[in-house]
Order: sequence, then structure tokens, then C-alpha cells
Amino acid sequence: MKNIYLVIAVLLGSLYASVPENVEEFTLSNGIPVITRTIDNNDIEGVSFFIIGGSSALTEETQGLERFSLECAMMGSEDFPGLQWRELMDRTQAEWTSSFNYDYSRYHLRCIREDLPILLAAFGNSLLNPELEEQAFEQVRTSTIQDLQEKYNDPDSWIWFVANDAFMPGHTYRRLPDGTVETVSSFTTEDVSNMLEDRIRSGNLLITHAGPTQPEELRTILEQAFGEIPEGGQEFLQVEPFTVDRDTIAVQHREVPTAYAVVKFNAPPQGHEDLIPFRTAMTVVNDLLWQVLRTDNALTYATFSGATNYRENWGYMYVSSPQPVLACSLMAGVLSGVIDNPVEEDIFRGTIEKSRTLENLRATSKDNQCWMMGNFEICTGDWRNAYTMFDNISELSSADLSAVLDRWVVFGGWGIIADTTVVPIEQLQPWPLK
Amino acid sequence: MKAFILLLMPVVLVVSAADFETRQLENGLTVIVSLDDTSPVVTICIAVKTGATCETPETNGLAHFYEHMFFKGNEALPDQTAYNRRMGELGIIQNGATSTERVWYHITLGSDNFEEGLQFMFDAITSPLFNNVEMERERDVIMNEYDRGLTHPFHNLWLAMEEVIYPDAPWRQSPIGVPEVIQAAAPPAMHAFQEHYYTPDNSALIITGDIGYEEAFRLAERQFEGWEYGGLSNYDSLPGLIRIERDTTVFVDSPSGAGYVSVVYEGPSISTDPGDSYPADVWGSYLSLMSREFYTDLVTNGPFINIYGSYYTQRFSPSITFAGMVPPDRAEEALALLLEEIQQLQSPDYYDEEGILLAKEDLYRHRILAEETSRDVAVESMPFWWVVAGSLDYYVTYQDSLDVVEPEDISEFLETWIVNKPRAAFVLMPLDGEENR
Repeated sequence: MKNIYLVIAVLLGSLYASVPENVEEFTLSNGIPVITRTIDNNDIEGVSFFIIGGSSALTEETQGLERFSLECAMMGSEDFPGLQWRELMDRTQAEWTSSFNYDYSRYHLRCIREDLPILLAAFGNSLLNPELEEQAFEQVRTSTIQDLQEKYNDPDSWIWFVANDAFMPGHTYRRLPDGTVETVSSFTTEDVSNMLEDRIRSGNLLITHAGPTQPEELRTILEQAFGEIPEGGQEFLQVEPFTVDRDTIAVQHREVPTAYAVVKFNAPPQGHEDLIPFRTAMTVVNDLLWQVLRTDNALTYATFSGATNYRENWGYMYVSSPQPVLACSLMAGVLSGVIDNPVEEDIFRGTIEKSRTLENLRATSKDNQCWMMGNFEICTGDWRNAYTMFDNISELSSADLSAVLDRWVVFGGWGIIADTTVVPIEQLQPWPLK
Repeated sequence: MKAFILLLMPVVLVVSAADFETRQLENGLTVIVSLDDTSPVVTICIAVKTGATCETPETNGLAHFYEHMFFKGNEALPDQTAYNRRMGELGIIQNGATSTERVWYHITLGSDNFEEGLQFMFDAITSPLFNNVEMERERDVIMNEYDRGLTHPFHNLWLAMEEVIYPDAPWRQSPIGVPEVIQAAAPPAMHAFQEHYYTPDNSALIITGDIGYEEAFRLAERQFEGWEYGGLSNYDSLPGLIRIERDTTVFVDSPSGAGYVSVVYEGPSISTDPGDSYPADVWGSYLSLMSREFYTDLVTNGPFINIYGSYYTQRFSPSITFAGMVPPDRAEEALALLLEEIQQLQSPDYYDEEGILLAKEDLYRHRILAEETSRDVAVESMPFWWVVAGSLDYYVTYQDSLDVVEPEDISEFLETWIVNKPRAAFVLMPLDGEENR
């Protein structure tokens, strides 16, 4: 159950909170924008380093190259060669987390305050002067390929990509930021050097911070760490809307004891006035899926829904069930039911109240704060939207949610992983969402 | 750059555990309160000393089944639909988990609804209905959870480890249980669990967040003083579980193609050998240093993708494990190298003083980072230490106890638990149709 709520927490946007007062913006001498929120309740710092571009910075052949290059850079640099780099990580117990999505790559540093200057200095040095030692390079390749194989082998993870086959064929977002086994197998040190030289430029970058370090001190630290990054960068290309024009399904056969299903459908892009009502509606749908599929019908351990946070977005619903035909049919019915008949007001209000709690909970995590400010800055053009876009949510009515779903939900792209010797494939047809 | 290099020398970081106060109610319930006004939310957690370790072959899976029934109807909220609606009214987000040695439930809600949140938890923990119809439905939900586990790349490995490392009672290491028990679960078995374990003297109530100490204790006492003392829990007298009597190597089929190697030894129980747990932690932290021999030999210059060697603090199944991912075609080579490395690390010369200091400091830092939010404290930190260590004394004195660990303590720990001791090795790799061997 833990994972389900975690996913919901991640997928919900921020609700209700207004723009905090303790946020400042400044620009480094080379033009890298910085957004910092001072939070001094403890000594933990969070810094996110965004490299803007994502899928649109990749080609079929270079899928995964940005991720691979950054991971290689994190193995050591000119000033912090391998052993020294590892000693620094040992000493600080710094936590580096990375994510590579359709719109940007993000490295997040979580550390104790006193370690922030040296860790950022080492990171900056690794981006500009990576060591790219051969053994370390191959170590990253082995590890990355293993990750990719794990992702493919886990049906719970791969089902999201099966749904992409149905929902977004040919779209820019089909270029996988994590890469494929084939592409990662082919990368050379020269590819990595070229990628870093092209992409580590101030025009492609954004830094967000949440923690006790004050803005002026932070500016000094960041200037020392990243001030030498050259100017310039690539144009952040427009992403085309999704064009699914009929209900579609992609089925993958596997000998699994329970089937996995995901449906994706159009959602408002970032910045659109319908996005927050849409996201709220999908949170209501989430609660109804739990009620109908799990509480009332015991068809599943895991079901949830939501909407993404990219520049072009989709809504989605997920279920794992030994009875995928019935489960998917009910899932589609829940969504179309909300479109046709506004849900009871107390259910809607309950969803809002839970979202408020989640938002307040998110405010306690510096990682979340860094992500929110950076994601909204990149995808909507203004980090404040992370806090203000939800200010008027209490004025929404249940009927508004039905209306917004009705405007955006048309066709669904379904992905199913199932044992088709148990679940006859002819029964696996796309279930209309309206 | 010289300044940075100088900074690489370890310095001792002084940290303390999360600030908290604790009191015990007359019925035996331990109440723990920790404050944090960063955000207007409160987390309420109830930790119970139970889990798979309390089960028999006939009840294997029922502690977990019980956890699911917590979220169903109770005397105040007649069914799950009413329960779900009340969550909405109060803005509650919730979760629960069952592990081998503990079960815990937690909710987070706005601090203005704190009192109602206490009532919500009280009703759920003291008066679950175990309605037949709801149990019937939940049975299918849990079976789906069970089936999902079957597709995990490590499923076969876990089964093999349960059988080899815990031969006397492998079920006590398997919270999900077995289908036969899940399918047969009925209200009387739930009531038996409730009677034995779901009592105030076997539980802790943990409250963290935007609340005052006095208010938290006052309201907790008012709400929970009516929970009837039980006195029937056998948790503290359960026997130890881990037993490795001879060197064993098991090759486990990996249908997903994943490669993994692990070597396991018995470790000190925190209830019977707490003193050994401190050098064990420092030693494990030392092995996690990427700049030292263990990592360098096995990852930097070896076949492992990652590696760890650590002691897992437990009461009944404490273990010392060396493990890491490997490319499947190098799994056997990786095992041979790991066993060779384990031989080497038994020598005191393997460890340097600076590294031991660094290892201690890493443990301090790890605690700071692990307790960033009040929810972390309520859900992760406190329940673990209260249940596993038996009280929070261990948690409070942890750093002081680490401070006095000397290299000879680590040598003694190795002598006691690893040198010439039997181990169980496991290699997960595709066996191309062969049975496990």
C-alpha cells in the first residue's frame, strides 16, 4: 500500500499554498538562473540542477546519451579523480538522486549544510572536466544496461512504456531519456565528451535550492562551483500535442500471474487554465478507482490515476488484476461516470482536503520544494505557478471537474501485459473512455 | 583546490537524536511526542510489536491480513466506505506496513484536526469489526498483492534464503504468508491476533509535527486511556530465528535474467547482544566506504555493479550480509571474489583508523538525513527503534555508544561472528532450465 500513496503524492500538484515569502531569485555571472527558498528548520540542504531539453535534445540514436554522460561525469573529474571523488562522497554521505524525463534531466543533492560548498564544487568540476577513465566508463555502461534490463523485466515498470505504443506513436516523447540497451551499448567516450560540451551551457540550465544557506552565501558557493560553465545553449523546442485519434490497445504477452494495465489520454499542457481542474478531477477519479475496483469489487491490490507534469501532458489510470477485462472495463466506467455525472460534493471535498494535507506534507521536504520550483519554472515559465495555480481550487465545483474531463478526454491508448494463454487476446479490446 | 583537499580529512560531527518526550499511560501504552512546526500537519503512528515473527505455519500471513483489516470498518465507522469518507472529511492520508518484526499504521492530517485524528486512530486500532463480507473481499486483494510479488526478480532468491537461513521456521520471515492461510483466514483468527498483540502494553503511539507537548500528551491520554490492558503478548519471549550451521552455497534460477550474489552470516541480536551491535554498525559503515578496499576490490576493479556488507539490527533474525548486483554471466566469478574478500577482511590490518572515524561520522550523518521531516521521525525512525530495540534508550544513547567503539572492538566483533563461522551463499543467475542447486 505504501507505494500507492507515494505515487499519488508525487502525482498531485501543489494545492492551496500561496507563494512563500522566503524565495529569492538571482542569476550567476554566466546567466544560470537560481531560485532559492530559505528553510532553516534543520541543517539539511537540497539543491537541484536541471538540464533542460529531455527527449527533444535526443535522437533515435542518442536516446539515453545525456543520462549516460552525466552518470559518467559523476565517477570523477580532473580536480577530484576517482578515488578522491569517492573519498569526498564517503566523508559527506551526500545523497545524489537523478531523474531523466521527457523535458529535463535533474540531479538532486541532499547533504548537511557544512558540506554544500565542496560537494557543489566537485559536481561543477565533474560537469566541465570529467575524468572519463575507461574502467569507470565501462562500469557505468554495465550498470546502466542492468537498470534498463530490470526495468524491462519488471511488468509493473514496463507497462507504462507498453501504453506509450498505443498513445504516442512517433511523438518526441517516445525518445527514451534512459536509453535502450542498443543505444547505451554503442556510446563512446567521445560521444560523452561531445554531449557534455553541448549541453552543459548556461542557457540550458536552472538551479533550485531549499535549505538553511542564505541567498548571498549561496550565490558565492554557486558562482565558485558553476561560474565557469560557458554561455550559450540549445533552443528549447516546442513539443507537439498528442494526436491519438481512436481508442487503441497494445498487448504484450508474458507469463505473469496478474495482468497489468495502463490507459493514457489527452490532458491540458502545462500553463493551460484547465490543467489544475483536470488534475483535481483525476485525483477524484483516483479515490473512486480505489472505492470501486478495490473496496467494492476486490479486483486489485493496486489501482490509481493522475495527470503528468510535463509540457505536454496525459491523464492515466493504472490497475493490476487477475481479471483485467473486468478491471479495465470498470476503470473506464469510473472515468466516463465522472464525465457524465458529477460526483457527490462530499467526495469531491474529501479529495480536496486530502490534497491539502499532501501539499503541506510536501512542504516539509527540501527535495520536493526544489522539484516543484524547478519543474514549474521549466514547464510553465514561472516557478510561482507551483504555489499559485491552486489558489482558486476551492471555488471549483464537482460539475467543473466533469466539464474539464469532458473537454479533454477523447480517446485512450491502452497498454496491457498479460498471460494471453489465460486471458484470451480477443477479449482485450480498448475500452472507450466516453 | 588545496583547501578542498584539506577538508577531506574527517571531522567528528556532533548530532543528537530527534528531540522528543515520552510518557507511559496507566494501561501500558507508550506515548512518544516530537515537535516540528515547519508545516501545519501532524503525523500519528501506532507501532505494534507483532509481525510474521509471531506466526506459525497455520497463521502465516495473518499479521499482514490483520493490517489490511485495520483500514476497514470499526465500531465508529461501519465499513470501508464510511472509513474512506471520514478520511476525506479530516483530510487524512494514511498507510500501514507489516514486516517480520513489527506492524505500524500511520496517518497524517492538518494539525487543526489533530484531536479528531486521534479518535480516528483509536477507533481503528481498538475496535475493528472483521466483518465476514469485508474479509472475503480483502482476501482477493491480498492474493493480488501476493501474485504481484511472484513477478519480482528476487522472488526465487527470497524463498531460497528463507529456507536456508531460517530452517526452523521460514514462515517467520515471510509477512505476505502463504495462499492456503490467506484463503482460509476468518474472524476468529483475527480476534486472536487482536487479543494477543493489539493491546496498549504491546504498542506505542507516536505523534510528531505541529503540536505542543502538553496538548499532545493530554489529548492522547484522554483518547487512549480506555484501551484495555492486555498482558498476553509473547513477543518478548519469542525464540531467535536465524540458524546457519554449515557453509552452504545455493544457485537460484533467475527467470528475469538479473544477477545477484549474497553471503550471509548470523549476527548479534539487539535483545541479547546489544553491545555487539555498535561495532557491527561501525564495521558495516566502514565497508560502505567507496574509497576503501572492499568497494575498490569488488566494484571498481571487480565484477560487482554495487556492493554492501552490513549488519541488520533485528531481535529474532539479525544477520550480517555481503551482497551486490552482478552481470549474470559473471555471477560465479563474483561469488569467488567475494568469498576471498571476506577472508581478507577478517584481519585487523584491513581497517585503518581514519576510515573507522569516517565510518562513525557517516552513521551520524545518516541519522540526520534519515530524520529530515517529522513524518520520517514518526513513521520510519521511532517505530523501528521502539519495537526492535524494545525501548528508545538504545536510540538515545546510540551516538555515545558509537563514539567509544575502538578498532579492537571491531576485531572482537569479527572474531565472534565471522571468523571460522558458517555462512550461507546465494547466487541468483539464469540456470537455463535447471532446478536450483
